[in-house]
Amino acid sequence: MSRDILLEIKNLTVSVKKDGKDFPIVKGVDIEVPRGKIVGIVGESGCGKSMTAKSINGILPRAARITGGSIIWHDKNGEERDLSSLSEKKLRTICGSEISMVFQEPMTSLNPMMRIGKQVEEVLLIHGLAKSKAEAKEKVIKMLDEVGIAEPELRYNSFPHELSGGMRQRVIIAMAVIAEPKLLIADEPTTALDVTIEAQILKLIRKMCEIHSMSVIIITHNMGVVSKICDDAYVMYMGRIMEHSTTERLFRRPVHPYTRGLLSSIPRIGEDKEYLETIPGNIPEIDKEIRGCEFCLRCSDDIQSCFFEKPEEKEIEEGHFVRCHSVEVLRGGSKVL
Amino acid sequence: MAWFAKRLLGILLVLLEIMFLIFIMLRVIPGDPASVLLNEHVSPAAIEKLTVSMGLDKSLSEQFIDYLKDALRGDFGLSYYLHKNVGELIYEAFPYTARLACMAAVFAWSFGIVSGIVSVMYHDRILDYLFRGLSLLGISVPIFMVAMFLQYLIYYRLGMLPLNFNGSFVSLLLPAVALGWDSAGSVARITRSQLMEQMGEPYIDTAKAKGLYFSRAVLRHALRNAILPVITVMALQLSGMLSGAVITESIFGVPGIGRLALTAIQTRDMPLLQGTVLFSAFLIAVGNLLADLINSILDPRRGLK
Amino acid sequence: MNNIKSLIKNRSVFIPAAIIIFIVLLAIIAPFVTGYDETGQNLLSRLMPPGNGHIFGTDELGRDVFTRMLYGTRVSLSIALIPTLAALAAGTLLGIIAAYFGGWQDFLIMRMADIMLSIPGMLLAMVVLYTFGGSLLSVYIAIVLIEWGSIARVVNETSSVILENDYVLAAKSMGVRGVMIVLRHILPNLVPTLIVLFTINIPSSILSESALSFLGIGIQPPKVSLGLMAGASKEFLFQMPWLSLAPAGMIMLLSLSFNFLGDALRELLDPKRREV
Repeated sequence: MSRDILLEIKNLTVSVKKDGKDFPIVKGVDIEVPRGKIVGIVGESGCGKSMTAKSINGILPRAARITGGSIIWHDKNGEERDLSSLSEKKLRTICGSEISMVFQEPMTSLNPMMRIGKQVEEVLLIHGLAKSKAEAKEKVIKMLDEVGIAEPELRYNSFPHELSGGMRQRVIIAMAVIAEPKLLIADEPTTALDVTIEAQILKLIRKMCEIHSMSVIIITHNMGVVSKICDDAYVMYMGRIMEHSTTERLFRRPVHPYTRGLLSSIPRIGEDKEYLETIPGNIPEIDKEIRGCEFCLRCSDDIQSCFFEKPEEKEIEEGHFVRCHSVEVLRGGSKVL
Repeated sequence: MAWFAKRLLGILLVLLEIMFLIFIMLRVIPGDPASVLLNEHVSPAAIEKLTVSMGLDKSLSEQFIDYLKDALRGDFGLSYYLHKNVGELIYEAFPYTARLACMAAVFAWSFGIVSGIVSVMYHDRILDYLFRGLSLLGISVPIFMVAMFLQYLIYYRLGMLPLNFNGSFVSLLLPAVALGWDSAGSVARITRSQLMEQMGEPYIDTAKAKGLYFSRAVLRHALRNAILPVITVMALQLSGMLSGAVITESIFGVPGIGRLALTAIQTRDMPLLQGTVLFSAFLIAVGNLLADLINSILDPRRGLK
Repeated sequence: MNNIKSLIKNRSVFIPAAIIIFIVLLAIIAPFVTGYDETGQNLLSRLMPPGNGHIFGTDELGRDVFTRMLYGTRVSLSIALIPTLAALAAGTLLGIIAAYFGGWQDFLIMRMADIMLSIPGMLLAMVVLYTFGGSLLSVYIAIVLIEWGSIARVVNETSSVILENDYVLAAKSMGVRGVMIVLRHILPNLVPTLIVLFTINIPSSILSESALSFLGIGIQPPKVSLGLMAGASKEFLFQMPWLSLAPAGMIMLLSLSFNFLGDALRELLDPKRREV
């Protein structure tokens, strides 16, 4: 591959313990994050996208654990490390300095009892990135300014509850970026925010990505977010990547029925439709065994084999992968896209 | 300041209500208190005299107003049995109870908080189970059992510490452990459950994503948030212990408030019982006030409300 | 149904529950267990050490300690049930009334609860015992008085929250009557809270009774109580420690089992504490 890869998730499986049994919620996921690019993982809530992200920096909830696969981190000097098998101690030295994270809930993702300046500063102090407290404070104030917080000296001493949701998300981004990490994982970074704030935050993430030449993984359920800022997109359903390609190709030619469903449920201005289209049905419970394609129960163009056989991933055009039985049928020309 | 004045006024009101309530409750007694107090074989004249001297010939409302008037002057009546002013008796007994309560609190809180933290750090491992079992034992064992067990083991078998209180510091060690035992258990339990709850909060994930180890995330981030409810419980415990450890004091012979209360009920000494109850309610109210004060100082989200 | 099955399968529920059931059975069949009488004195065999047909020996009046412990356990179990349930019923009723009506009812009831809660339980009990004298009934009354306040407070808070829910407001706006709202919406939602409160209060009721009886101001002889037995034999502590430690141990076993059971149930009932 000619592309410069920073992080490679290979055949990752994450399982959750329920009533003493392991149930896979991420099933053999492969994701590549190229240097300096923004990768989106999109899917409905519960599809395993958050778990995939959280397994990268080892903050899976207690009941969940990685049961297979690897997460390969490529250093600048060409060294490879498998994050999934690192000790807690080694992993923590990477977290915050090389990989950082922005969370969904700006309301609860900051410690309510600690001044925000101190919380941002903590990153520098843990990883020894400031020689003195004074230097750390200076860096923090500069960073707060950079993420668009007015009067950063004053805000340094604020408590989280004194800030609005958008401001808090900016603080969290400042915290995530201050150590100049190589990879930023943003888990639904705009879900809890107003639409106007969403645009600002996405722009900020894009800007930070460019200034600090970071890679970004964005977890979202919103195709709109993907189209706005992602270079590559992975569509995930019930723990499996159903389709992935560059954002541009995926939006130009969505192939998987699920991707098409997600795209057609975005309302568009000027479109004359009586109803907003939806994907029928709900995501099945995790403890339900599905023999065939995970999506078969909700799929509109199911064929016989969907119920009995898992579809393999196929490359339908360069860099465009789809996991669907109907791909051949489509290629054969019997259906027109 | 206005907040503080309002709270003080609130305390006074509660005390007044308690005074009234206890006054009524203690006088629902069937029969004549004076004759109960004296022997059955005393002449009616003697009973009559005592009744008048106790003010029991007046109506209940008059009695209450008299009591209230005296109380406002700091006079809580004369103990029937000990023939001393109730206020004075409490004043003499309180230092003993205070010493005992403070020692018990130090033992209970240090053990409780430390074991709560250790429990969370070693979640679902041997140490967690050990401390959880111990804290459950703490709240399940009757105090008198702890006291007697300590007397049997430490004093009788090992001959290490004095059996009864004799005024010295070491003779307070056993009573302090006995008294602090269940408080230690409940502090450990609440510390653990509060910490566990905080560990599930998203900001802990943030802390870990920053690169903090689990143990530092517990100490630096979760503990700060978990400690507030623990402080409230601790303040209540302290005021509870200060208002008299009846069992501990009676087993180890500490001449404190609890012993006073027990004497009061054993000798049917109404003014003394009234006085000790009122005093303990006062301490509880002050403890609550203190807990609120500390909470609002520590919690940036809360002003003085 | 599934829940009940998993309850039985759960070890942390099963073990304490089994111990409690065993103790309850033992207390019920007490007269047939040892063949001694709980009050039957035998001055020829006083203060005998364990053995010789007396599992825990005999006391200073020659009565079989183990037999008396079983009868004392009956008292403890009645304490676990009767005043605890009474306090639960009173606290729930008053808490709901205060939450439903608000206004002066709320003020009066919650004020009463606050006052009760600002007197230490032990002293409140002593006031009751001073008034009514030491007996099983006055211990019941004392325990109800100690416990109803905090129950009323929790119930009041919880039902106030429930009453704020849109579906309750909708029911009210459609003219559903108060009693129906309480029965349909409030009580069912209170059940987990009430179970938790019940399990917390059982061991503390048992401990309260034992403490009062130990001090000699609770249940009076010739009635039997575990706390009373421990208190009456404390002068023999060094020579015959089992006389007081065995009944005390029984109290511990009971309250420990109830606490364990309560913890396990709480873990299962509280959705917040359940993990993924």
